[in-house]
Amino acid sequence: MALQTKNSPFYELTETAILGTDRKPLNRILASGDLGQTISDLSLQDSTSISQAPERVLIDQLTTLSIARKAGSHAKVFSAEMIVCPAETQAKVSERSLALLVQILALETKGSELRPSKMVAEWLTFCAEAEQRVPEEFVPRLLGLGKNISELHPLIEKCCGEHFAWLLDLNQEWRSSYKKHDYSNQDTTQHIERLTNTFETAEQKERYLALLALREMAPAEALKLLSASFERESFDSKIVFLKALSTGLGLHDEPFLEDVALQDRRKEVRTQAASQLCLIPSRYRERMIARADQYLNYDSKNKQFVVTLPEKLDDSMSRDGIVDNLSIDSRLGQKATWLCQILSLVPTSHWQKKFSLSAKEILRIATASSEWSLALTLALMNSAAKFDEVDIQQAILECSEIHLTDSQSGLLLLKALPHAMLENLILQKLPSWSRASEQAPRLDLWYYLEQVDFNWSEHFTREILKFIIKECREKVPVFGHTFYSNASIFALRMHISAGELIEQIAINSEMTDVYRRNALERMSDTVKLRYEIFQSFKSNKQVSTSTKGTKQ
Amino acid sequence: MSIAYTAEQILELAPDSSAAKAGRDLAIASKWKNLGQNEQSIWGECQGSGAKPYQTRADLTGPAFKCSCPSRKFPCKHSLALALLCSANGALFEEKEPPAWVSEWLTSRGAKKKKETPEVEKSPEQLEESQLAKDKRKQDRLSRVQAGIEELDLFIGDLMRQGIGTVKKQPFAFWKSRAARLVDAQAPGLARLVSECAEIIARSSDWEDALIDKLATINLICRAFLKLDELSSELKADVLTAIGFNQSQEELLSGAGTCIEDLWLVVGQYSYTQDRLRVQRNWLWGKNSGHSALVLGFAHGTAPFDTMLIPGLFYRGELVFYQGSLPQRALIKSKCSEPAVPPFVSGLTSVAEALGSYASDLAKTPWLDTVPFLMQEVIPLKATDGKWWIVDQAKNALPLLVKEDTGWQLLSYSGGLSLSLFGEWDGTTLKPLSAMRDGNYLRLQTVEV
Repeated sequence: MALQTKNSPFYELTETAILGTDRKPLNRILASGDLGQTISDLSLQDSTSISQAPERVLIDQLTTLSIARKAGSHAKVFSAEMIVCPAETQAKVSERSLALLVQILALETKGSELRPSKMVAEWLTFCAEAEQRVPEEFVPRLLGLGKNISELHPLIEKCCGEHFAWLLDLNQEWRSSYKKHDYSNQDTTQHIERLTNTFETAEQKERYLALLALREMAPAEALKLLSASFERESFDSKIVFLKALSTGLGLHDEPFLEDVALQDRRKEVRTQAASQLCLIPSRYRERMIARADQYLNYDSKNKQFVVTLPEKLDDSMSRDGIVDNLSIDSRLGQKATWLCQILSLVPTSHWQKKFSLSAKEILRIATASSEWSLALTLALMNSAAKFDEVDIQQAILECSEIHLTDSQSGLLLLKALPHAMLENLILQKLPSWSRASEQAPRLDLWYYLEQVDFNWSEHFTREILKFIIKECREKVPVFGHTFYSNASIFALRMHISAGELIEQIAINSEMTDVYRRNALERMSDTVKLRYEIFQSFKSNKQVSTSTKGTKQ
Repeated sequence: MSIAYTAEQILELAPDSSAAKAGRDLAIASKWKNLGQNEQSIWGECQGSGAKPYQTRADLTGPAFKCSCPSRKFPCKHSLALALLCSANGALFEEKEPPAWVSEWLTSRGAKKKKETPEVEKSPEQLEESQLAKDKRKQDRLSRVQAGIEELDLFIGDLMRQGIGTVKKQPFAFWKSRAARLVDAQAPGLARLVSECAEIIARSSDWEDALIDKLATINLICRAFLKLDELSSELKADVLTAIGFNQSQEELLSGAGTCIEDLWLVVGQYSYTQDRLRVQRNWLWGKNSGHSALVLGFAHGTAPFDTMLIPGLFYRGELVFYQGSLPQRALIKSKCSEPAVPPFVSGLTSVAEALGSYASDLAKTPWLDTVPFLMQEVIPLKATDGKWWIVDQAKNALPLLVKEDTGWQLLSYSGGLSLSLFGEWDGTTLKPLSAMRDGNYLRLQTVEV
C-alpha cells in the first residue's frame, strides 16, 4: 500500500513505532493531502501543549494512519480474462449418493484396512455407470484425494464432468498427477513419446506404470526402452521392470531376457528373468526340460518316480536361476530344493506326454514317491500355478492328502486358480467345514478367503452368507482370528446383493464374544453401506431417466 | 413427504464430527421402527444397547430435538440419524397422529415459548429503587474502567517509547497479565483486544502493521471513553460495548432495541474457542430489508450452542438489534424455519461500492473490527502469485483470506462464472464464509487466524 512504501512520509511513523521514541525521536510529518494535514495537526498540538508527550502524539498519529489505511483501501485491478468451464451435460448425483460418499471419506483407515479407498472406487464406479457426476464444489476434493492413487484416475475423470479438465488446466500439481490420462486427444506417436519421456524422467512407480502402459500399446518400444537403461537400473528396479514384461510376453523378448537379464549378477534378477523365460518356448525352457529329463524318470514297473541329482550345482544351473540354498520349505533338504526349483519350471503336460500318464496319475505317483514326495508335490503345485494347466490344478484340488494352506506352494496355487474354480473348491468343502464337531478345518474357509483377493460372485456370496447365518445360529459358532481381522475386507469382496441377506445375521447383545460381535458388526455395516450406495444410484438413475430432458 | 432440510444442513447441527459420523451410521432404515410424522414433527424408535429402544423426536419448525438416550451431546446421534433418514427417504415415515411421548413434548415446548414473557410487574417504588442501584453499580464500574484505561494508556505510552520491536521477545504473559488487569477493571472488551496482540506477535511475518492497527483500535476506544460525555447516545453505546459493557437482553427485547421482522437467511456461520468458551458467529441477511445481523451463540465444552441456526436456511422472524451507531449484533426474538425458500439475497454489486460502504461504516465506528460483505456477481480466481481474489464486473478485485482447499472449492463451484460471495472484511482481506449460485448455497471452511 502507498502508505507503507519507503518513500512515503508515513513510513517514518511506523519506523519510529518499531524503534521507539527513545531511540528515534519523533519528527514533524510534512505531507500533503487531507491525511498529511491531519497528522501534521497532531504534531502541531504537540508543540503547543506541554502535556502531550511524544509517545502520545505518536500513537495518535499511528491511529489516524491506521484508520486512513483501512478506509482508503483500493481495489486491485485484474485485466486477465477468466476461462469459463464448459457447461456440464451429465446429471449431478443425488444428495443421498453424495452424502454416502462423504460418509465413506469420513471412515477412518485402521492399520492396513483398505475400506475407504476401495469403497470410494466402488462409489465412483456406480457413479460412472449411472453417467452422473459429483457436484462441482466437490471436484477439488476428489482430485486431491485421488492424486496419488492412479487406479482411481479414470473413474475420477468420468465422475467430475467438464470440471475435471478445466481444473487440471488451472492447477499444475493436479495436472502432473493426472497427466497419464490426459491423452484422449493425442495420437499414438505422441502418446508413446509421452510415456517414453515419463519412463526416462519420473520416479520409480511412475516409470513402472509408464512402461506397463507402453508395453500394452507398443511391446517392442517398451522392450527397447528397458534394454537401453537396464544396466544402469538398481536391482529392485530391474525386478519391477522385468515384471512389466509379463504383458505381451513373447519370443521377441527372449534375446533380452536370456542375454541380458539372465546374465545379471544378482540372483533375484536372474530368478525373475527365469520365471519369464520359462513361460515362452525359449531356449531356456528347452534347457530346463532337458535338465529335468536328466534328473527325473519314471519306473513304470514299480510305478514310482526315480530321481537322480548331481552332487553339486554347476555354473550353468546357477546362471539359469537355480539357487543353491533357496528356502522353499523347511521340510526339504538341499538337493530336494534343487529338484523342486527345476521341476517347478517345467509344465506338467511335458511329463504327461513323456510318461503317458494323466495329471491325476502323476500327482498320485509323486505323493507316493517316498523320500522325494514332498519336493515333487510342491514342484507340481508351483508348476500348476505358473503354467495355468487346468488338469493338474483340478487333480491337486481333488487330492485329499494335499492341504493347500500348509505350504507356500499351496497358497501360490490358491492365488493362481481361476476365481470360478476357487469358488467351486470352497463351496465343495463348505459342507465338511459346516460340521460342528470339526473346528479346525472350518477355520480353513477364512484362511482360503483371506489369501485370494477377488470379487465374489453372487452365488458364492449368498452361499458364504448362508454359512455365516447358520454359524451364528449354532450355539458355539467358530469364526476365529482370521475372520475377525478380515471381516471388513470380506464385506468389500462380496457381491452387492449381499445387502439383501445381511439383515439375517442376528447380531445382538447376547453374543458374549466381543471379537465376534465386533467383526460381524463391521462386516454388516460395510455390506449395508455398499448396498445403500448401490441403491442410491439405482433409484436416482430411475429418476434421472424419467427426467432426462431436464438435465443440468 | 420428506423434510426440506438437506443432509448437509442436518449435519451442521452435529456437536462434533464423531456425533455426525455416528448419526450417519445410524441413518439406516433397518435400525429404526415405529417411524412417523405429522406437519410439525417426526419421530421414531431406535434400538440401542439397552433393553428398551430410544424414543427420538424432532420439531421441524425449530428444528429442535429430544431423545431418551443418555447421551450428553445435543443433538445426539439418534436425533441426527432420525432427521437424516427422513431427509433421505421420507416415505419411511408414516403420516399419523403422534404418540403421547411426542405430543406431550410438543405441548411442553409450546408452553415454554409462552412462558418467555415478562414476569411479575414491580411497583413504581421498587422500580425506582432498582434503577438507583443499577445506576450506582454502573457508576462504580465506569470509575474502575477509567482507572484501568489510564493504566493501559501508560502501558501503550511505554510501548511507544521503547518501541514495539522489543515486544517480540516478551513472553505470552506480558500481554496476558495486562489483559487480566483489564478484566479486573471490568473492561473485558479491551482485555480481549490486548490478548489478541499476543496472538498477532506470535505470527512469523507481517506482525508489525497488524500490531499497530490493533494498538490504534485500543487507543481509539480509550480516547473515546475519556470523552464519553461528549458523544452521541449511539456512539456512547458503541464505546461501552467495545469496552465490554453488556446491554441487557431483557431490556432490548422489551423495546429498547430496534426490532426488524423479515425473512432472514443464515448467510454465514463459524465458531471458535475463546478462553474455553466456544463462540459461534451467525451472520443473517434480511431478504426484504437488506439488513445484516450478527447473532452470537455461546457454549461451554461439548454443550450445544444456545442458538440453533442452519447455514443456508431462511428463517421468518424478528431480530432485535443492540444499540449503536452501526447496529450489527442482534438477538432472535422469534424464528420459524422456511426451508423451502431457495437461498438468495441481494447485496453489494461492486468492489468499489463495498469499499465505499466500509469507509462510511468506519467513519461512524472507527474501531470497527469486521463488516459483512455480501458481494454479488463476483468471480473467484487464483493470481499468478498464488493468492486468491474475487473480481467484480469492472475487474476490481479484493484479496481473500482463504485456505488453499477452500479456494479451489470456491473456484470449482463458480466454474469461472460469477456468483454471490459472503464474508467478513477486516479492512485488508475478505474471509469468505459462503457462496451462492443458481439458488444453491455452499458453506466454506474458514481460516484459523
